[in-house]
Amino acid sequence: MSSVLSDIKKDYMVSLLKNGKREDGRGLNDMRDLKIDIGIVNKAEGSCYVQIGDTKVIAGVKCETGTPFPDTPNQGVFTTNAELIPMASPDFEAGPPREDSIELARVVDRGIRESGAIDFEKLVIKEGELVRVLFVDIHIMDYNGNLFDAAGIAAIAALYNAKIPVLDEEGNKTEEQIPLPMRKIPVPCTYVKIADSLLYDPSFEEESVMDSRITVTTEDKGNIAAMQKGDVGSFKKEEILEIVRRSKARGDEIRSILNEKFSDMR
Amino acid sequence: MEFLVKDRSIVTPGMAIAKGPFKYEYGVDKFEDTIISSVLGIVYIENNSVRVVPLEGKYMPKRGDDVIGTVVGINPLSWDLDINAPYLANLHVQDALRYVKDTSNLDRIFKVGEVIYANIKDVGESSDIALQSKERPYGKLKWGRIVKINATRVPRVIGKKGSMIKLLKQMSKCEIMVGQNGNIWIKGERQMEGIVEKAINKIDNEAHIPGLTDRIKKMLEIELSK
Amino acid sequence: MDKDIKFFENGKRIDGRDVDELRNINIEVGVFKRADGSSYIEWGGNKIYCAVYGPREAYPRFLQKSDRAILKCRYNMASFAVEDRKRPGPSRRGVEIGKVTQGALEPALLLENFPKCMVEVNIEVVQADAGTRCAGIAAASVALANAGIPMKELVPSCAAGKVDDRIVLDLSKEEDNYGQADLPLAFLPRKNEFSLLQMDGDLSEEQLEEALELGKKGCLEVYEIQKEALKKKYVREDDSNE
Repeated sequence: MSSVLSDIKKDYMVSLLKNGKREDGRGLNDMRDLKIDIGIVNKAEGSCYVQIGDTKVIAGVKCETGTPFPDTPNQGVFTTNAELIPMASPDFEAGPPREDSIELARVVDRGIRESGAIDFEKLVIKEGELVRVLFVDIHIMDYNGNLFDAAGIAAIAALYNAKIPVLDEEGNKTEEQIPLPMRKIPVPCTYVKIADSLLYDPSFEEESVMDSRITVTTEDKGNIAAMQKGDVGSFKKEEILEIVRRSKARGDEIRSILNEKFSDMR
Repeated sequence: MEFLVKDRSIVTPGMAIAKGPFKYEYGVDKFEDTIISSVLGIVYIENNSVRVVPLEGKYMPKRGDDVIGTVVGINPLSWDLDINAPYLANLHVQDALRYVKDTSNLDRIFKVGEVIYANIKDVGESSDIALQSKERPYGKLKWGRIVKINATRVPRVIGKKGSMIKLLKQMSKCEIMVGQNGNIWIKGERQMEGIVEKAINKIDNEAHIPGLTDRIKKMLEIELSK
Repeated sequence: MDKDIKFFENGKRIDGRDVDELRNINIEVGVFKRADGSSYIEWGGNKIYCAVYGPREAYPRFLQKSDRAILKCRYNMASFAVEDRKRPGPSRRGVEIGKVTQGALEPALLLENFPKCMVEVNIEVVQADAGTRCAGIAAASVALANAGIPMKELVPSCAAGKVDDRIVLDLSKEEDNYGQADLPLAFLPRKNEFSLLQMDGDLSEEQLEEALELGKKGCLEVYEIQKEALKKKYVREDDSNE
């Protein structure tokens, strides 16, 4: 039994969009309130709680050591995992990750990996033998739309928050701690298309009526690090380029918020 | 009867509220000679009786209630409607319209996602909810907007002898249908719909604070003068 | 058991508590939008969220009971909630805790009001610091009330234990790891009975009796915190009006 949105609500939302308005009073390019709480779990090496409107996610970083992949002996290992736990929605079920959570984790992973946010070479302890293994785990607590942006922001902030122990040559932990070798802040921006309007930061209701969805992850210089057209539907070339332009501007705004938080941390 | 809490106080489940003869009602339970609350709610003491109106929870369907529901499923001869209750309600094709020529394709009558104003014909022993929507004003609702509130606060939206709903209708010139299940449909001028929605949400949040009608009237006057 | 660990100093426990003292507990009610009821508990270093869905029709259908709702409890720990990363997903420990949580909560619920339905409790441990199952049960009971589920009473929960041959309330991480016994309890205040009881370690009959008494006292303190948390949620709404 999944949630069905009534036609009255759909018609109402579409008629508002014709006048450039949204159900919650936002403009098409507005984000809901963004709240970022860094370092909320002290058992984790790094952590971050992100709230976009009523969507709530928590990301945690754990660091272990292990052997590198044979084809990248001079790089650390990085894994992103997301869980759409039944807590977050009446439609999520327990069990191993399904399509949606795997897609979510992979889009977040690509944004971080491809932007070069982490200097993987600095995670090598002994080339070809021993490297750091980083895990970012993302927990979705309350699903009210736009998980991609919430998860992506939480993940990068948790990585910036992370402190890992300095290791001696044998790989044993010492007392000293250092931050992760972070270089860039990738920020994902998600848009949906409803009745030919492009909406930034979709709510749960907007996602239930959307024709299509796209996520664009930009990095500090404004280049694109990852993209994902999600769900069904399609976009015109002009729409894609317009979304990329908006994502750059929006990404810069969120990056400056994050940069401020990161400098407070140090 | 001896009352252990004040009228209109908030009680948590298991709290002792009175001593005396026990009459079962939703929201109260008995422990030895004490009447206790079985829900999180507000205590109402009236004429030597006590009841607890829940602050939270789903709609508990009652025979005769008018409700507003969304079609969520289509069966061979009936529709499943979500009416904010623990169970889906069932609308049989014979109870849906006065004349049905063709029952081969119910999708042509009501589609998934459409909103129906209906009356609860019966609640069976195993909680099967049967609806009917044969006569006016029952039937499909179109356009306007739906506001969802907690079903326990619906009496406050209607008001004493319908005073609150009359006030809302008169001041906004909107058509308003109130489902006992907490779904309220409003249709009128767009801006007016918004004002009514705001007023209803205020009633939902402040239902347990005295002087509600005056506050809503004041709010409407301020909003309408904008 | 590690003989070198010191549990007491100047008559107090290492974290400064008396033997019969709980750690700091704070409960927030209604923290999620999608769930029908929810809560967040901070108990010492534990950070735990709870969301309740239902009552709604049980599926798969063969689970339905014709005379009552079924209660499903899921306990899960975030992979970053503990020192060494826990593998994400279900674990044997989590499944067992889910089951005893169900057993602790169900006796207090009036599930016969909702035949064929299910009520789902989701407990998510974001940071673990000893006593997560008790904190989870206390939070879950509050979230069930917040969902409007009818019940005979709230279910408070806390652990008693033994360290250095002394019975203490609400074990800390060190006391749990290196102590002599752990006795997680849930208590039905009105019925005056225990609905969660597990034990591991070593206790004499006399020590068990003392621990049950102490645990009951702790539960009654947790009960007051639960009631206050629920009331506070609605009183605060009062204050926000003119």
